[in-house]
Amino acid sequence: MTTVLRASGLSKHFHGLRAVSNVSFSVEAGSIHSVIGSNGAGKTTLFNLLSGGLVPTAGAVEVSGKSITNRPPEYFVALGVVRTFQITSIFSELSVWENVALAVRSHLGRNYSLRVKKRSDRQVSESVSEILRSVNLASRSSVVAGSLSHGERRVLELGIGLGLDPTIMLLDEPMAGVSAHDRHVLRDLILNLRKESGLTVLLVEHDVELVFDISDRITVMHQGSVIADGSPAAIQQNEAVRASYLGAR
Amino acid sequence: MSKKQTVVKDRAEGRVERSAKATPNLKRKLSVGLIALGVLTLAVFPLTAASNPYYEALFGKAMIWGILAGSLGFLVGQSGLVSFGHAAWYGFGAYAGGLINIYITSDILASLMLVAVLTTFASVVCGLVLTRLSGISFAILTLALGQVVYSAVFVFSRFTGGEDGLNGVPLPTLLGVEIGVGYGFYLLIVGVLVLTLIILYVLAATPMGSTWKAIRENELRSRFIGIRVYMEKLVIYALTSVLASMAGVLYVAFNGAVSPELLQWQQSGEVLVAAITGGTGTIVGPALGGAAVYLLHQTISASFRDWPIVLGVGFILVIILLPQGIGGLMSRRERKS
Repeated sequence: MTTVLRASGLSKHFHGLRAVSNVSFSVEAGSIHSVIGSNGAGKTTLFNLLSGGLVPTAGAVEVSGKSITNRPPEYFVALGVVRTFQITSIFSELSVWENVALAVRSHLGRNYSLRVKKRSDRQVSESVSEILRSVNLASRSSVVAGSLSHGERRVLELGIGLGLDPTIMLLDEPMAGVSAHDRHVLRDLILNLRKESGLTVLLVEHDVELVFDISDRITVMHQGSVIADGSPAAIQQNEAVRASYLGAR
Repeated sequence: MSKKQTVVKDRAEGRVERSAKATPNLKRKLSVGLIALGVLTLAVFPLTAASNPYYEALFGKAMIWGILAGSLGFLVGQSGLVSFGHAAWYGFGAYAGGLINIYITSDILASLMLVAVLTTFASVVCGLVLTRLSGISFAILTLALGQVVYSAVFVFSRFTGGEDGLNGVPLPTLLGVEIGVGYGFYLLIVGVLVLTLIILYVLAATPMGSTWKAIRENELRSRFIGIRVYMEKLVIYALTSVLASMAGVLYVAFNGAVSPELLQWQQSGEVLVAAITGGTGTIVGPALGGAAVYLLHQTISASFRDWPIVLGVGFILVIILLPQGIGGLMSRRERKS
């Protein structure tokens, strides 16, 4: 198996607070790798470090063997590291189609294109249609994104990420605030994407049941540090994890 | 599923239809036709019996204001960058155009091109700092920039005439022919206004236009989908600065003189009010707003000293009654038809 993303000795301190301290783990290609931990364990900070949102105090991030520590988000995106946001982060006043098209054009390097009839760009149109179909939003393509339901927005969030043709997708609590039904839809979607296009997923999620259900590997964080790392079965048996996280539930 | 089915389905489910496809060609053609008719009316107006040199000058300057407010409205409406110092570029264009006219060439096209190059350079330099910011900090810094340019007029008073302004700018020529400031120049202003609007319409419709809107909607997410936001902001900032400076060049040639008031922050404020009154959600709206505010300013301040009161009250009324501005009114009517 090849490693897609590797964090080594990653730390982030905010004015003395060790939000993330000395975290090392690697994500294998085609796997669903989850990071769990209670609130304040440093999961979101870790995500920011792994996607260019924050510069680490120490340590390094490697993508497909290339070191990209200290680079801006655009650089991570160019290498196929794509993240979604815990708080839905879409372009509300633009159509669903345009939301995804922005990502697709960005990926194809056509942000500066002066082509007036945007939809006449076949390559873009076809990718957008395909993505919208795969996330079940095809029938909503011309609707303004801000008028979508919460569940649909979470799905669009994923669709925008797919537009960038990611090697690895970092999903920051995709299930946050999603209804039981939509959770199921999203779960199937993530599994399907992995199956169909071999997408690698790094998942931060509070829904522990889901995490144990779909993950190949789980990293457990507590107060900024990794306290366990292994298969779901191994994590479930881990004493430290039970004490600090699972047991508390 | 076809477009029609989608829309019908949305309606059936009682969703508010705010689809991006909801502007069929007919409506677009109708508004283009309306704008063309308006421009044509403006272009031939000085030839009619109702006109006189006063009106010609008034409408000429109103159109210059249309270009100025149109450029600012585009910056605000597309990218969400609210500049409080846009008059700095208008004034920069006016002073640069005036000095070029006095010392280098009186050819108006040459001046327009030279000033476009100068403004591109100057606005990119300023933009390198400005575009690192957004929201309030961007607005405040543009205000400061405006004041810097304003002060520069006094620092270099040997060239700019300082408080007295730059006077005695020769009449403009066009390709060796003296066109003066009569009907020929008036038509040139119409031409530049139309060209400006066409450029803005086209750019708004391109993928680059979409990235500006994306930045306006969500700058952080834009970065995380690989849009180089600083670069994109720099492009739109420089572009609208250059357009504002074109208005300045036309102004100084038309007026024969320029005073420092032209780039005072009150002026920037008035242009911003005009652009918002016009409606930054559309391209033509701010240009209309600019022309309207200029015309009102001139006609009202002739008989009533306290023009700012009228402007202020009018602005409040527009914000309350027509939050989308004049342009919004037009597009709403379009939607109903």
